[in-house]
Amino acid sequence: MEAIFFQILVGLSTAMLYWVVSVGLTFIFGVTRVLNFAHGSFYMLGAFFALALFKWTNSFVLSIALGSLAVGVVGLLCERGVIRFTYSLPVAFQLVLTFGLVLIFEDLVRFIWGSVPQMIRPLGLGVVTIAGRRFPIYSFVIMGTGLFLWIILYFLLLETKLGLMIRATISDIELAMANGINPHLLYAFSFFFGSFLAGLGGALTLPMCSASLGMGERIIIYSFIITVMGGLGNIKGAFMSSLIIGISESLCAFFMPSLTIAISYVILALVLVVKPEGIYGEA
Amino acid sequence: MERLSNKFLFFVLTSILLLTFALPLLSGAYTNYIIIKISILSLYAVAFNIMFGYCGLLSFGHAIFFSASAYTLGVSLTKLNLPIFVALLAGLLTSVIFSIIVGFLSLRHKEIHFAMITLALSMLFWGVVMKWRSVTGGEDGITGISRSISMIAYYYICIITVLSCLFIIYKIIFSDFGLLLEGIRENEIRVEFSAHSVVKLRMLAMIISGLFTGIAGILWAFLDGAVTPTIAHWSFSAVPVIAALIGGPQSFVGPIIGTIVYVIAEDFITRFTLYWQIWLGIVVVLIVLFFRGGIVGTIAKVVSEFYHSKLREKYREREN
Repeated sequence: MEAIFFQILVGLSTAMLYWVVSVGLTFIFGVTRVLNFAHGSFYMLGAFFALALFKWTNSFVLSIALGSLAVGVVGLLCERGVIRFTYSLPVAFQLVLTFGLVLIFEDLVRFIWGSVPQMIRPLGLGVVTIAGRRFPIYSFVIMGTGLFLWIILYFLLLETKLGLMIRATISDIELAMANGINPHLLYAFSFFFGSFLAGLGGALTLPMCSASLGMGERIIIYSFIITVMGGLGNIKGAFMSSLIIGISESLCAFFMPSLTIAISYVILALVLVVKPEGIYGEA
Repeated sequence: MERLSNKFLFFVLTSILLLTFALPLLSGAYTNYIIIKISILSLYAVAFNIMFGYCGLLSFGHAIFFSASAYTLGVSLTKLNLPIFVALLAGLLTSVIFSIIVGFLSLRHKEIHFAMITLALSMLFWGVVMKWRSVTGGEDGITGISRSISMIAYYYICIITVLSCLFIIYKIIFSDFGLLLEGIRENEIRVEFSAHSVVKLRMLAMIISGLFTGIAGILWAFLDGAVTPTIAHWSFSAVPVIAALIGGPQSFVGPIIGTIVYVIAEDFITRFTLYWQIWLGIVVVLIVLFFRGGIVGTIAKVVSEFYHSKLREKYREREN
């Protein structure tokens, strides 16, 4: 029983990391209807930016904040530079275009930082003993960030004028435009904000695992699974399915370790067979 | 007009391929290798394009079918010591089975959902290939697949197999069935109203596509005598996507031309720099932004504009 509790706790911290990254993806999709393949690259960029900034400033909080903001700016530049020309094109072209961006970013990172995985020294936050096992305190930082993000998003979307505009654009873009909302401003904002979140997720993983070239690939697949499962563009759905995926993965690692790699796909397949539009439906 | 240019290009391409029959007598082993590679990947790209260009479904999971047959062949030849024909059949059967499974899970969905589900399944397949060491050999793959014939003989076998497969696909695409597929792409509801099951037609297309992809996979396994997990990775699913886009997904020969450009460009750029992905990425971005018809589409557009302007001139002269 205690072991299960511990696994759920571990699952929660992975789930919160998935949530931070995948909500960025689903947010971008909700506003712009573009599924951004390069989201995983932004995640990777976040880790590498934070790494470089940490070496320079030696402050972890500062490097996370600045690093993820910088990723947000990169996302904004990508949107204004290339992605905005594809809004009216078929989905295939958008996917392929962002896939091209993945290739470019991958090689740029390889060129600048090399292909050897890099780490920062541990933060030294220590561990607590829960249910007889050692649990890193840093995981609570990630959980806290995830919950904080949930509150911030809730406030942003439901209480501010910007949130009203975003919700209007998500539900009916033509009507929103007729009411004087400039969609391009929102598109730019959503790419900035979504990429910022991807970068934040990447930077947050830095004390736990090294920044490496392939790291974006795994997370983009998980983000895709989570967003498709929760309903594309649905923020609540992203939260719930991050929890489902994160916790079931961690429980599976405890009970059936050999099935861990398959469990999220199995859940996705089950959800799609029962409810093709996702748990909460498409936004 | 498009059909005309298609037939013309098909003719030109076939003659080029016929010329390649004489090539092994003149050139070195490396050129032969590249040409075999081009022919296999062309088949892969054309088979993929049945789904992409004609059904309008972007699949990011064709590496599953490609590697399923290659792995089955490798396992049954090296570990089970089956006779070669049984191994070939087993390979193709696995590809078909996998295309049915993937189709069952993904074909109810369209556009983004379809692309995402095939991608997720492809990642799952890759994960299983990497972890199931006792059968697939994990990261090392399967080595020692012997083709027991010389490279030049294999060269001819490859070219002939690929050509006949391309011919069969061509016949399928320009049959009533192919027309129905295009009809689904353009207007699903109308096809359904004329008493055709959209899901069944798509499933059939998926199986055909998977089968020919499987043939390409088998040819690939014999080429190097080894199967490695790179061909199961989803980035290998992106190869035909990019090839089809470079060449032009709306035409039959587009993916073939795209593959030729892709393989030669890869070979050429990697001689100068390690960072060849960045150039590939830039090309992909430029194609999506400016040349969405690909090479064939762009040429067809230029030719038809030229043709029409000529016609207009003639018309004007006659009026005067």
